[in-house]
Amino acid sequence: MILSLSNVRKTYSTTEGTIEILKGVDLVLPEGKSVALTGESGSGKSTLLHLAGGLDHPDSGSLLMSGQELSTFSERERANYRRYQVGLVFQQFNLIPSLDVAANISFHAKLADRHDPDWERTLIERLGLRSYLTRYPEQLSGGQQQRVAIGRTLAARPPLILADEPTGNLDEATGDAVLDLMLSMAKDAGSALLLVTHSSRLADRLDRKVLLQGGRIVE
Amino acid sequence: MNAKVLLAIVLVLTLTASIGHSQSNGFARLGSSAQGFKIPERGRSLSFPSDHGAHPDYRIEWWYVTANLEGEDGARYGAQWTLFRSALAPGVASGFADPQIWIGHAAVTTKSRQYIAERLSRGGVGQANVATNPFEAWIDDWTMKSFARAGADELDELLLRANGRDFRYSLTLRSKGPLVLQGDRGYSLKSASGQASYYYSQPFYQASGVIKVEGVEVVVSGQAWLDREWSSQPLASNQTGWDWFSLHFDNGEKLMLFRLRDNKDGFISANWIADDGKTTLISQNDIHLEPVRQAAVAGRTLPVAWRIQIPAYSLDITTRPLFDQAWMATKTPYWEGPIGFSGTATGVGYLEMTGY
Amino acid sequence: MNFTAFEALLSHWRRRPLQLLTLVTGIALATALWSGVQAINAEARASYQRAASVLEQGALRQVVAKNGNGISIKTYAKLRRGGWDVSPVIEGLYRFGPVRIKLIGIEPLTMPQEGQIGSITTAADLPDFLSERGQLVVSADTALKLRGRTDMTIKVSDQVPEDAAILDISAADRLLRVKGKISRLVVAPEQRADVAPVERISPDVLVQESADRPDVSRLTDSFHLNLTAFGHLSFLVGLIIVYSAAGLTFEQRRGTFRTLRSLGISLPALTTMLVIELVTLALLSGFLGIILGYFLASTLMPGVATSLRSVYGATVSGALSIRSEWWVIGLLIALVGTAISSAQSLWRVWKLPLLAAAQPRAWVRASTKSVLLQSAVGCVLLALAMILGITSAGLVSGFGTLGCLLLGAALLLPGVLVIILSLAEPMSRAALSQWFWADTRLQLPGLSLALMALLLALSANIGVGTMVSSFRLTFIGWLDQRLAAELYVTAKDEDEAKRLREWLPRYSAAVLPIWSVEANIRGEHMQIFGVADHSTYRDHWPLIVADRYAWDMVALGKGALINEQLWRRGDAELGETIPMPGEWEATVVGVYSDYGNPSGQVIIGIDPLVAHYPDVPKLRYGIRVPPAEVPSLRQRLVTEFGLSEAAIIDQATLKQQSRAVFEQTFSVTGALNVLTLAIAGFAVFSSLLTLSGIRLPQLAPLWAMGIKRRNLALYEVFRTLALWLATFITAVPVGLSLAWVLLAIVNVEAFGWRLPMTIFPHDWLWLGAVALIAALMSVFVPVWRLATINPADLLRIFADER
Repeated sequence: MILSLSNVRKTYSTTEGTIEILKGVDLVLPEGKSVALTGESGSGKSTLLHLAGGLDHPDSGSLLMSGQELSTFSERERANYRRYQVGLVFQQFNLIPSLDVAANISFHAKLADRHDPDWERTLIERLGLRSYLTRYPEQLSGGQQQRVAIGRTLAARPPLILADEPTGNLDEATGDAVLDLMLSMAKDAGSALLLVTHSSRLADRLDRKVLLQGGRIVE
Repeated sequence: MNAKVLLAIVLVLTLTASIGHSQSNGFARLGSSAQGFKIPERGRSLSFPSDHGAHPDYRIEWWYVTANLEGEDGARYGAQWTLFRSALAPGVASGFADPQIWIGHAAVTTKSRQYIAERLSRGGVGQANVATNPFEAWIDDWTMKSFARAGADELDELLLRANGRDFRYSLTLRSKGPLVLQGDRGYSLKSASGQASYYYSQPFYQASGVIKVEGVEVVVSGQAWLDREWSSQPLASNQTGWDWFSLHFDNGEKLMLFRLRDNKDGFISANWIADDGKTTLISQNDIHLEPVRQAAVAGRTLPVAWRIQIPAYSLDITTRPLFDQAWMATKTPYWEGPIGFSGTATGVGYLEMTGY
Repeated sequence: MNFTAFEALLSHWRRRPLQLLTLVTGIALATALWSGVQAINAEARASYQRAASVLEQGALRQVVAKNGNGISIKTYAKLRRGGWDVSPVIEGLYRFGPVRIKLIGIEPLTMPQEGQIGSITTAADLPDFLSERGQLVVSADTALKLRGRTDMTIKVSDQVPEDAAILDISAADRLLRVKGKISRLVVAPEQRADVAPVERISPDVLVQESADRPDVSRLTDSFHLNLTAFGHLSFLVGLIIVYSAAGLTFEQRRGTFRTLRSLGISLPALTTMLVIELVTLALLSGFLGIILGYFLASTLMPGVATSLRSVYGATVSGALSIRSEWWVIGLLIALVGTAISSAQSLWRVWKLPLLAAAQPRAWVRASTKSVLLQSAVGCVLLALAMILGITSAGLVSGFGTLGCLLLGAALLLPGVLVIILSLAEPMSRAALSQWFWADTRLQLPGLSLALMALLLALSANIGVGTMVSSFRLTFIGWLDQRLAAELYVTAKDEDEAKRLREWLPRYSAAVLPIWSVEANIRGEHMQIFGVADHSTYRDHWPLIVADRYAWDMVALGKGALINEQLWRRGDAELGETIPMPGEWEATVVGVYSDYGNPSGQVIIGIDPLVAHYPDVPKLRYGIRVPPAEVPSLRQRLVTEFGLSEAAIIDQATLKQQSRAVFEQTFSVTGALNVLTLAIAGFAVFSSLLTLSGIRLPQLAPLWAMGIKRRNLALYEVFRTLALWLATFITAVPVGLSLAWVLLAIVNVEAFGWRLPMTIFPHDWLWLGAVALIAALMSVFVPVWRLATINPADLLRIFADER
């Protein structure tokens, strides 16, 4: 059991008042498995992912990551959690604009002390990025940038990959190709994957599919 | 006779020499030639009061008083009042162009401290000078002023005043005997090779007055001794310094004794002064002088106690200083302080040691 | 592996070298101006200290004669015999051929060891110093000048100021021919406790406390305050550059910060990295700045030295010595400046929410509230400036007025611009021009700091320029009137002077003696001039205020004219009688302008001058002769009379020399002015560059809607010009107010002169043109970028989330 959420609640204050976006979420992600998190826009998918990634804290409830309670982590512990345990892939690619593709790919692996040039070479080949290594992010297309972002995450081989609509900015064909790649490579890396998507077509391709509705998980 | 002659010139020559500069070298420089100054001549008779005044054609000159005093508090004191004249060139001029330089030294010695002060002045401006008729020697607010009755010698009765940072004194000196001409009727030989000075003394003063040290006034009385000396080239080139004694015996007799040190046996001279002023020169061979105790003073070692033997007078005495550290830390430093002595005779006196 | 993260942060600079250059330049310029000015001030102060301690034994009390006639040797001896530890000094100016030297004759035997002189003479070889031949102790430079001009031995000491010589009092007495008149007595700090008061011992003298004497460092304070003000202004402008550059780099790297944090770099670690980065940058740039500052200072130093010498009579060495404290202070200033200008950006990083989207424009967006607040503070400062300006009496409050005025105006500028733009917006009907004004208003917060810097620089330029030009106009006019004689001659001795007096009348219309003595009047050392009763003076000497029969009174020996400095200082009023040295009195009948003179001056008739001061040197003469005859008379003076060529100077040359001195006086101010303007131009440039980087998303929609890139670029140029024009127009009244404060308050305090203010619109045009070129240059790079941008880049605006 790599990740286990129980009765997780989260409220946001907006100009129109407070919204309870998560009303007691329970979710379990086994080691090495992939789970698709679907739901309508505004259902709280991204919020759930941010909580799981240690980017935000829940108001209440428990988030167990490899048996550790995430919600009681200090800022420093959360930073270490992100560095060593998690890989995040966002809809926006979040590459470092001043670093070239090669440096971006090895970046997180170096931070996590898991830099492995052989594995990186394999990734680069399979992601088809070999001819772009010396380019800068702004010189790449969206699909290429997302492949770099995925490459960066996979290169670090985190136990848990959290992906938020990673193919949302890509056309269907490119998106499918990127997703395939990510799934198979996550398997190779031995990482569990929690993927947020509103496409049930994509969701079907994962080990398991859950739906977030009314602030709760509905299978 | 008195070898202090040398001091004044040294003062000028070494005014600028840094402290710690080899002192014996500084004193040795006194063997320079007379350079247009007059030279003392044997047989010239001194005339008073005019010879009480300055002799600007000679290079150096002084008016030198030392006093052995006892306070009402029973403590012993020494007092020194000196005015040196040292000429850069012979003669006088009015205003700042005058080549004469005047130097005042004053000191009070107690059994535990030496208080000193030094004053400098150039001639021609009235800041320091010596006048006769009436007699007054002064530098700044220090003075040695005659109040002798008309007809008496101007030096018979003197008022003496000086002050420094933490002391001052005012003494009245009254002589009980005549002026004493040292050497050959005032012509005093300073070396075997013929260097000489004019030298006379008034050793018979009864002194009384007030000394104020660190704010405390003490009424004092005792004996005092005045030396007058002028010359132009007092030291032989191989002479390095001197040890000079002036002694008041309890029986009223006086003794002046000095030794000029050189690279050989030195030059010793003494003058026995009877209580009526009659003098007898004592030859070098009849005097035996040896240090009996050394003391560390101002980074040097000085013989502060001496044994003096003059067999012809059955004299065998040992002197002891009132205060070992009677050091004159003036621009040219030397040791000058009151002493007492005992042995075949007792009494008090002053010891001066230079060139150490 | 935090190193990896740090590398990623730093990789930003590799991609944006221009931004790095801006930041480094900003810090370096700020540090350079600051440390350069500090260096000049430190060097000059060190010189004064040397001069004050050596020339006047500044720290010690002095005894001076009440009547200014000097102290007799008798009085000196009386004081000494009364127990006073005082030492005589005879001093005065002496010519060794063409070399004028201040002689300070001291008495080494009594000179207190506490003063600088004590150590100079102890170190000297006293027998040589006192010898009949005499010895001059001088600086190395002065020794060179004196070579071959005196028989006295010369000894070099680095403790003696320039153009001064220390010598024995008897030698000074002889050279200056004062016959034992002592200029002053130096009082040793330690005196006998029971000594009688000086006045009781000798009623004709008095003790002057060290603080009573006008000292050159106080006189020159204004000059240094001036420099310091410019140094601070430039520093401020430099900081503005750093602020905008730092703000931009932080904002542009916001995405990187967020990514780094989402990849597990903790906030303290990130902040630490940024602080290390800033400190390193600050130290490197500070180092550069100090080197720049050193060169700046050593370039300006000779000018500073000359003007201090000519205006204040202060002797300052033109050389600059490297002081170790510079490095420390310079680097510290670079650090502090960087810290101040990047604190806000760092704070934002600290507060940056992990999940917030990047907002490249956020940092340029200032709320209406802050503009209002800023304007309110600006108004208060302007009001304060007005109050200080009206009530002001002292030099410090004068500079206070300047500070409030400049800062207030700068703070008010954005508010004023917003109002102007809001007014312009509804007046324009076309959609595009409406967009133009609205967009300009949007840009304003990002540019306002740079515009404030520009305003400061422009105002300072207009203000100082007006002051200097007004001064120049007045000065040149005054010079033309005052230098009325066609030829000026100086005899080498009294004999030659006597022959001149007999020879000259045959060949000239008039021979006007220019004789003066130096004396103490009311405790101040000054010159007393004698003038002949001649129409030259009546016609040409400009009097500020005067009795009707002023010149007659002067000729009769009853009246005296005083210079403006003396009058403004309140030392003497019209109609008042002043005690003159030599036990007589004169009535003040007029006041004349006397620019370029630090001290007071009195003019009396030539006959009374000679009568009261028979020893006055009678060496200098002005000769009136028809201009056409000047060359022939000159020729004749040399060949027939035998006067040396060096002893004759004609009016034109003299005027030229005086003008050169004048120009030199303000050359430093001018140089700093130009530098400040250049830095402000750079600030505008860097701000525009900064803005241009984030302008694309704002311009892309317009481009998409069919506006050509070239037109977009033109709009950018228009915008810059509009803002520049508005700033320039604002700078004119601010600059004129500045000039008024300088002329009416600061100069009167600093120099003792008040000058009429003249306005020079031509100069503004020139300044405006320079500023315009700077503005165009600053906009060139961003506009060129915009005009040549690849359309694909604009397209991507729509593809990317920004």
